[in-house]
Amino acid sequence: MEFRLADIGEGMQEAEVLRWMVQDGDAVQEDQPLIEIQTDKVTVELPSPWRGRVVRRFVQEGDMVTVGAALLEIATDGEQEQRQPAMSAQSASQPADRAPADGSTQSIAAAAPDLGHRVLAAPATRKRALELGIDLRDVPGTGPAGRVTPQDLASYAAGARPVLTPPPATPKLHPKDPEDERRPLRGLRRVIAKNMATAHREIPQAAHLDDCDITGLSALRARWNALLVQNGEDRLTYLPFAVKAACAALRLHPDLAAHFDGEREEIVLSRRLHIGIATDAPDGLLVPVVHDADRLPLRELAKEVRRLAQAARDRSLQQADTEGGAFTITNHGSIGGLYGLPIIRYPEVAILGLGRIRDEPVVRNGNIVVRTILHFSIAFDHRALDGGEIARFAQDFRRFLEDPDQLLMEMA
Amino acid sequence: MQGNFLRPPQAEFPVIRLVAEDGTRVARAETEPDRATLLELFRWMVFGRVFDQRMINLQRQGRIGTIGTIRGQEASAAGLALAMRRSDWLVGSYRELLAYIAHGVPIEAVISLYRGGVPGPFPEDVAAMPIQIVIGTQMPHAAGIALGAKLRGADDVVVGCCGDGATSEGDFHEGLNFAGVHKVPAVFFVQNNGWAISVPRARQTASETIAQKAWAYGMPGALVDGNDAVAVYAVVKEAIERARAGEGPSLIEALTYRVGPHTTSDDPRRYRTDDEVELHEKDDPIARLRRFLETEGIYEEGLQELLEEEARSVMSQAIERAEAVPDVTPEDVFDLTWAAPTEAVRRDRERTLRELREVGEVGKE
Repeated sequence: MEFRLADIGEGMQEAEVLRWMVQDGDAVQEDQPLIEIQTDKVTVELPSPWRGRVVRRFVQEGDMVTVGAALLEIATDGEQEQRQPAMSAQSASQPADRAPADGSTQSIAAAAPDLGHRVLAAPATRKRALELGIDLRDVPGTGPAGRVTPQDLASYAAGARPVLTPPPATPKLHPKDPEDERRPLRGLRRVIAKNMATAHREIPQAAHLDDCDITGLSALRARWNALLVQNGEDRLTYLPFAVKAACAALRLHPDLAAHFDGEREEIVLSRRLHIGIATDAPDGLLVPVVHDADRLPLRELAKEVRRLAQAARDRSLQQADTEGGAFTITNHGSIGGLYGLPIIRYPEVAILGLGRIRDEPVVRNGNIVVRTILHFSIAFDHRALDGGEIARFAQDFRRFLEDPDQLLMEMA
Repeated sequence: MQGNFLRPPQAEFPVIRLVAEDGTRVARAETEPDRATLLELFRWMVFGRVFDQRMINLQRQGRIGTIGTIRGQEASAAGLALAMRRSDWLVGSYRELLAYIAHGVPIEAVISLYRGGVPGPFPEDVAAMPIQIVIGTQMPHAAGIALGAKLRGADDVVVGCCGDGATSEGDFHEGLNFAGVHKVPAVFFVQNNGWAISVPRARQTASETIAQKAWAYGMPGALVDGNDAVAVYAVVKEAIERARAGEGPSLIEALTYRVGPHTTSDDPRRYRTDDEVELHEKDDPIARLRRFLETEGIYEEGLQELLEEEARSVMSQAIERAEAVPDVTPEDVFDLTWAAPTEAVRRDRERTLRELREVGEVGKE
């Protein structure tokens, strides 16, 4: 018996195979979990409808599977365990919706569902076809999944050839090299790809680059860390200071902590400063959120940043940890790069990138001196903000980091 | 502002509890279940747990449609159903499936509904309305059926059930208001499970309790620990006897918790924390009743396992019977809706079937 993927959501089209929980040849009990899948809405285990033995599995972890596709074949008790190949899935009625044996994962997502005799068309189109005495099966459909549109019907009735929209041209990839590895977009990578493309497509983005002299802050941090180490506590990085300085500057320039609601043509200003921290996690970029970052004492803030980073790394972030962000900070400089031009976290309106910190020769009072310099960049949504406000925000952010006394006065 | 005229909402509804979370007795009630009923309560609750998991599995296997989960709410459902007579009307929703079955509706009829099948009418001696999916619309039905019973002089009581979410619907107000005005023999039972899909109880009403809404309709109210099957039974029993004696309707709020998702189609981790669920899972109504049975000396070793085995076997047989019920045909839509079709219905039926034949939807075999 073939176990097929059912529509387990409401109107679900496809699901991603996360994990097989049985192997070929395994004996399975009724209701024993077979496979873990992920839909747009939920991650669930699918239990076996039958008791028997796994003959073969047709899909692989990472595959996108359309509803109705066979997932595996189970020889139920009383059935022949070894079937003839002619009876097997490879030659069954819907070969297109099954993964090829070579392990490539293209065919499943690409395959059109088997529509059989059923023609897709709206009731009104069906009615019109009946009135015209036209069998809809004869009408070439140009709508989604071959749906027959009223225009298709009209052109068919008029004896005209249907106007087929050519498929959008896809850019040519470089010639196939058998050595190439094709890696499907799955899981977090897929989500990131979608979000980044949305942000890039939607947002007219501009950037502002600057640097600031954090020699004073560096000395202060060194003194504090000496104390912390004595007490057996974790040392502070620059990040919590930068978060605090950003919060203080956001309080003076609240327009930067906002969401852009294009549909309603509104800019939604955040009252509370929940700050997203872009985190380089094993599966890809994650942005956990420090809630009320402006209200947390510095050491608490540092602790929360560490907790979130750890949770991002060991994949234990909860939904609440990633929600509510009003403004994002990305600290790529801890890895490298003098400046970065980060993409805004849609639908936020600005993002702060912290670049490299290094000692540099600078001119002070006509002399060349060595100071510790932080490079930073701010990318902003030019629909919501203009360069002047960004420059003023940058000035304040800079002032708070260059003169820690001013920052301390701002810290609650 | 210091005012002179406005009075604050009074909310003096202590939670009624007879058995504490650890299974020890904390109070007694005249209407509490006897020994045999206690065991029946336990049996149905264990069945409910197995039923819930089996139904979710059937949905995941593509054998039934979307289904609401009842895990964690077994005490409310079983306590409610066992306090009723079979001739008392159960007018509830998808969250009361266990109550329907414990009240006498065949399991295969329930499964069959979720297959999109027509299970035939419920048994003659079981008074139950079809399972309502639309939120809250059953409350005016319950009030109306109860008025009918009163006018006929029958001594049947109508139990109208809904969830905390439904109390924000106009239907809830209309049903309870009407019931209060006409002093009908009804009991309104709200399973407050904390969540209406993703809307928490705190966003549902500014009232401190749902029970206190009873006062506005001129009826008594009660707030009961919905995970205490003994207390649910006792409170519902008192409300039913009161209604049967002609003293009118009442409103009961059962405080419980939906441990699972709203239905098989949502992921609760997107709107509530795992910590919250874990906290509530600790107060498992089945474990609580079992500890109570043990302290009362009623529980026998291995009983729960035996009941689980029984439930699994009963479910398997019911699934088999439900899956043997033929699929609904387009004709059924017309033939089963009207006892005697009107001329317009007859015309609609013919035209629909003709059109479906034309597009190859029927008569293709």
